[in-house]
Amino acid sequence: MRDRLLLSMWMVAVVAITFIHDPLWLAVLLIVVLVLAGSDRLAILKGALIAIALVNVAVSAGYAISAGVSGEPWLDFVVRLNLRVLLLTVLTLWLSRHLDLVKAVDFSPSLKFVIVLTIGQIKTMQRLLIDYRQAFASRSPARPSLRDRMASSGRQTLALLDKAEHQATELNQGMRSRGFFDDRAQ
Amino acid sequence: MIELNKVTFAYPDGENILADVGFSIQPGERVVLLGANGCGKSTLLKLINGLLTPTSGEIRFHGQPLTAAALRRREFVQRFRAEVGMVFQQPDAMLFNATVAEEIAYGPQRLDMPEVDDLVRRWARRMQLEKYLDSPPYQLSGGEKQRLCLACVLAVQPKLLLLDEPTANLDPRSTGWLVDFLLDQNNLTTLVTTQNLSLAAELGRRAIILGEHGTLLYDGSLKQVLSDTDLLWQANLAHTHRHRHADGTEHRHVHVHEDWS
Amino acid sequence: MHIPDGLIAPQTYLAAFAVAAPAWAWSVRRVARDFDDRMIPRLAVLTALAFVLTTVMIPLPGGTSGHLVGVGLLALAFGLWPAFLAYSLVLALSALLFGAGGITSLAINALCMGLIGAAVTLGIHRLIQPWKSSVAVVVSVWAGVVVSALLVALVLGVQPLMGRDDSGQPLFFPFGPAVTIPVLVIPHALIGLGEGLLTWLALSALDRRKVPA
Repeated sequence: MRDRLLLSMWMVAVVAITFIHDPLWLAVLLIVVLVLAGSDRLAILKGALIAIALVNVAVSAGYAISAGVSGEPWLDFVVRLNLRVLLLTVLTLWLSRHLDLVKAVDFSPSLKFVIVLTIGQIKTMQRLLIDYRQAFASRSPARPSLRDRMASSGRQTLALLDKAEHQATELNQGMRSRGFFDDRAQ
Repeated sequence: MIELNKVTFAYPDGENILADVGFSIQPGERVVLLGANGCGKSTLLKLINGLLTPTSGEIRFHGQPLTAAALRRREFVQRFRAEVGMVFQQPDAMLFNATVAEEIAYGPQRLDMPEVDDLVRRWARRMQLEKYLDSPPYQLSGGEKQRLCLACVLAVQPKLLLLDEPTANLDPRSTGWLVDFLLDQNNLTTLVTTQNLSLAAELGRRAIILGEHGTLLYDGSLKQVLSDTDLLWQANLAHTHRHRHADGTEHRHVHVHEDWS
Repeated sequence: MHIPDGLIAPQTYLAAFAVAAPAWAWSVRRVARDFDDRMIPRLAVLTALAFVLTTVMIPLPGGTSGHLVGVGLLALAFGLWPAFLAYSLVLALSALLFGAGGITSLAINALCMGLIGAAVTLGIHRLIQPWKSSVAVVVSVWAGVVVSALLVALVLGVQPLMGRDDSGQPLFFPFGPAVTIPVLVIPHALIGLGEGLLTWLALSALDRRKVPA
């Protein structure tokens, strides 16, 4: 229940924030959120700044220069855009640290199973990918050529497809073995 | 309990994985299924667990044919799933619940067993998983996942336990623990696949050996087969290697795996 | 080429959710029907695959690299609706589990890449299937990536029309299509080529093996 509430509140907050255009309000909200975020506020702020840096710096600088050249005001826009994007990103990062997604979706058993299984499978496939990458690095004494890098990425992709094929069959049998599909029996 | 009659299995457009395999397992038996990599051991377990259907031949469970149609009948499938439990070689395949506690409770709940919470705690304690009860299963280590799978399957109190290469992912200490644990289970019929002969010697009295091309090579006393080097060689369960002597001479001899620690 | 939160006006992203909702409902129905009782494990594996595919590097000249979108590969291997559904789930999971990507822009991203991008790839692949298979895969995947980039550029490009404050400064993303289209489409014309080549490498090695995920 707590997690479902958290999820709903976050959704409402995120949508509401996109209707706020006054930089002052956005700044106040950002401060409030950071104060409420508790002890990991600095880590969240840092993570958010890194996540948005590239796009925000490009858009802000691009706009400031083009508006500046034609003598138009640009400061409000730059402050507004950056505060809003930062506020939304901080909120989402905070949520991802505190939300138990599996509990939040337990109104639908099917969705819950899909999410639990997906998380486990992501971990398995990530391990596989890391192995392939490390093996490629370990076998490439010199800087690999574009062609070799393409071949390596191709093998990684194929390995993932193969793994998916294998996992889907195994998982299906594992679940069947434990009686998961028996409700459909007559 | 389980009877196989001329069971053949092939994937569509593929070679036979199993050919004409027949044997039966009586309640209380401890059977090890031996064979080299890729000889069809896992496929055979999956057939017995009703996950695959034979291309030809028949499998019977308490005298009733184990067919796709039978497995669609609720009464039959529930009894079958409650009595026959299988632990996969890859534990990830069988874990799909949000927490370790829910994972163990899954089977007992579906069978409306009483006092599920107690059962969960008891099995978690036996498998040394108590501190993980609220953790997601995918966070466990390989050995812990294997123990969790055992807990999930045994909590349902099956009569026949199918174990597919149960020590493949285990370290020596866990392997020793598993052997002790299985030996302590009275009243449990077990069919364990392995290619490890000394583990087999610990776990079973009867051996079924699959040869290349999925044919039944041997069915009988395990003790007897362990001394039959020719047969073990034929089943690719023994290897040859050169022995160098101090005087510089060499000879080749057949060698049976002994140590499993 | 994902659009993050905060750049898109509510009029735009709410409209996108309105369009995406029936598409999601339809895809759930189709996937449930096609996968039958295997839907849960298959969809989970497919979503995990879609997720991890986005972390595969596309090597680019000069030692740089981009990331695979993976939608073209998923669509060619598993069909339009499973690809769209898995990709949409990936967008949601990225936000909710890792705090990455946008949630308000989720529907726009899902429609541009997961639905229209995949549909373009499949449609063009069907048209040019008689061609050499490598060419057919590379061209159709490339087209899917480029069309997705074009759509994203257009969605961003209309944002200046979505409101300005008293001093005339934009409320949302500030640049029109004259800027967004070249900035997004030109690099993706290159990345799409890498994506196409990678997709072909993987699919050709899979051969005609059926992938029952």
